[in-house]
Amino acid sequence: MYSKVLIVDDHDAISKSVQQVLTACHVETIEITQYCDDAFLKVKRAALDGANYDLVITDLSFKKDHRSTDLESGEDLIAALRQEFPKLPIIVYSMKDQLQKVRLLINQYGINAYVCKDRKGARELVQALKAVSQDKRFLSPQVRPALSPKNDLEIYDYDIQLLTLLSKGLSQDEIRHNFQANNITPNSLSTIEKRLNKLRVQFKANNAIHLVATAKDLGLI
Amino acid sequence: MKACKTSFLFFLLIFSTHHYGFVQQSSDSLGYYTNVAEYPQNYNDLISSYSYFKGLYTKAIDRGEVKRSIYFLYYIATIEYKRGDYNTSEKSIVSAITLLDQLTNSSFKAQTKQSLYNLMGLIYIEQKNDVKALEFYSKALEKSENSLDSAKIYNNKSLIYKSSNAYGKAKQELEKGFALLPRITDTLIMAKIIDNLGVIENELDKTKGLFLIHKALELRVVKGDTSTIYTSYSHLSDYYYKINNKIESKRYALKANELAEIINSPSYKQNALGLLIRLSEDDNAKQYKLLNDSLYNAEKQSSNNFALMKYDVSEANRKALESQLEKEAQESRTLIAFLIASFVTILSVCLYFILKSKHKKEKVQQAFETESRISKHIHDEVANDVFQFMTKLEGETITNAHLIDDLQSIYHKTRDISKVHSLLEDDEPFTDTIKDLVLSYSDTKTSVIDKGSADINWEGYSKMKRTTIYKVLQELLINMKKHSQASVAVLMFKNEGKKLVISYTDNGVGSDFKKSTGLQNVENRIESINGTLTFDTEPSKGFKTKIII
Repeated sequence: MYSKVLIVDDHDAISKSVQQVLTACHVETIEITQYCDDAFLKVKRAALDGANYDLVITDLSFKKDHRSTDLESGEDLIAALRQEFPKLPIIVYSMKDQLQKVRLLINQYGINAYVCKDRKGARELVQALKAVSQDKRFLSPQVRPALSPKNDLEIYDYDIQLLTLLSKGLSQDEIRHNFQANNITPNSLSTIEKRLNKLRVQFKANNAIHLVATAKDLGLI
Repeated sequence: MKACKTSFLFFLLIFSTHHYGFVQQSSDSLGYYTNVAEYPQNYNDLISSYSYFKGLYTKAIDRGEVKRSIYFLYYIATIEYKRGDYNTSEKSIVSAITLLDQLTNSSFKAQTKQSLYNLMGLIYIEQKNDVKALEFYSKALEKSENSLDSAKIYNNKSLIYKSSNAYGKAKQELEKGFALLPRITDTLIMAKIIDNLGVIENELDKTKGLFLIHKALELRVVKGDTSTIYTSYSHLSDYYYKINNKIESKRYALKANELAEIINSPSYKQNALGLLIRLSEDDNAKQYKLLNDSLYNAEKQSSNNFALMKYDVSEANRKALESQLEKEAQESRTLIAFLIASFVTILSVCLYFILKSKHKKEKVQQAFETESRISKHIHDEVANDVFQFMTKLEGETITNAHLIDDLQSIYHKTRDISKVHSLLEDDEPFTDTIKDLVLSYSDTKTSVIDKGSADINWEGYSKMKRTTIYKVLQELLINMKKHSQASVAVLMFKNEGKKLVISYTDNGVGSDFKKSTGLQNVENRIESINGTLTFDTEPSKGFKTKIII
């Protein structure tokens, strides 16, 4: 799968566990560094020697110590690497799970995988290695929503009106007539049905009654 | 004595007010008449300049031009004085002083007052009221702002002492003036002081002053000033008369008489004839002069008394007016002081609140920074170590699943602490940050729903407020994840008037505590940005929070 991989992490035990994962995946050359600056130089040196790295696995957060550094974080390292080696595969292995950070790394620097350090971290890392080697992107489940459309979790006044009429016992057809009379759009029967289905998913409701009950509990209607 | 009086008659002030921008109209004729009033060469000069200034004064007073009115009044009074019309001159001076008191304090006011007091002093000398005259000169000296004026006043004071034969004192005063001569450029004034000092020296020591009188005459001849040359001649005639050199005395008396004809003023003529009569061999003539002099003095004394009475009345009126003005000035000063005091008070109160709010902001900012430092510390040290330990255990062949579960829960708690306190990355629109927050706490078990966050103008809130709101919402959601078992949580954002209202609701188990320790922090954060927060929770009734900012 890979023959030469660089691990960038300032925690020895973690580097070691990653190394174990890689060894299990039959990677021949595994190098480890604790500093972003060193990592960047290693990659450059290797390119000059004609022995390029196949993959870089890096953390995002690094402790500051006595050494003064140019690249202070994994994000800095990724930015620097992407400028000179746009095709080098990069996997981020981090404790952070902020969606905006993940989205930024994907959209701006095109990282190939984002794995969260968690109980299943090692297992997910294996999945990530496989996916990346097949030119696929891998994200740990907890950060996967970073790439999903955001409006799935939003509701609007229209939805509240819909729920209110539903709670008064109106059928979908009656709701349509009401909307038409009050000039509320969209008011086609199919849209109303779609919206109600979406609301059921959003409110984790099994049926219309459950939906109205939940909305009432939450004080929305 | 007569000779001295004649010299007073043409003793003049050079009025310095034309430096003050009076001259606006027909400056050529004004300059001419000013000069004529100061140095009249004959009686007609006085008459023509008098009607000129009278006309200007009437116009100025009609237009309400106070400074100009005073200026013209001064010349009117000067000319009246020179005509020998002392009472009228005095009235003019009093009205000038009354007008002057309406003005605010300035160099102009001081200078003009000094000149008017000086003129008043001269009038009192003429009226033989030495005490009053000295009093006015002292007042004038107080107001004097330059050597020339001071020298003139010393000269005038000396003349008063001289008239009462106090030559010692007269000499003292005059020497003060004499000492100022190097700083004076006005030749005629220099000549006057030198001349007068000569006359007094002669009174004290018969011969010493002659040199000075001649010196003064030289200066005056160079200037070609008829009236003062006349004075020098009369002084020389007096001098020789006293040392019984009748030939020389008569020579100078005749010269004086010639000049009096040229000047063509009755008083000069009378004075010159007096000098000659004194030298006459005719006893009848001598007798006539003696009688004439004493009659003149008696008549003068009675009119003086009358003038004095009149002055005292107008002085009383003037003082009443002055005190009225002083009172008004005092009132306005009090008002100004009050205004300043209240302004300062208001300013300091404002400053206090500004500083207080600034201090509060700094404190909040400081708290954020400390939090983020600790948060990074927890992340780097504790969470990483726990994770390392967990990874190690996972690798062991004999594993206790419960142990790893517990460890994972510790790991998540540590990460939550670190997350809640880390600094907010502010490089994307805040509404997206909120959406991400909602997204990251939604999963298969719980859905978090956002209503209206996109409708709020987040950029209208300071970064500090946005960060606080973010952290508070995050803490509420973490709390929800940990304890509530809710399937749905809703965050609603809306503007009510100028306030932002955020309500959080979930359908979880709720709790029976009013304030959990975890949520105490939320309350503190909201208070730090002057917001209010209310919890509404009961067991199995969900959890509701309303935040108003």
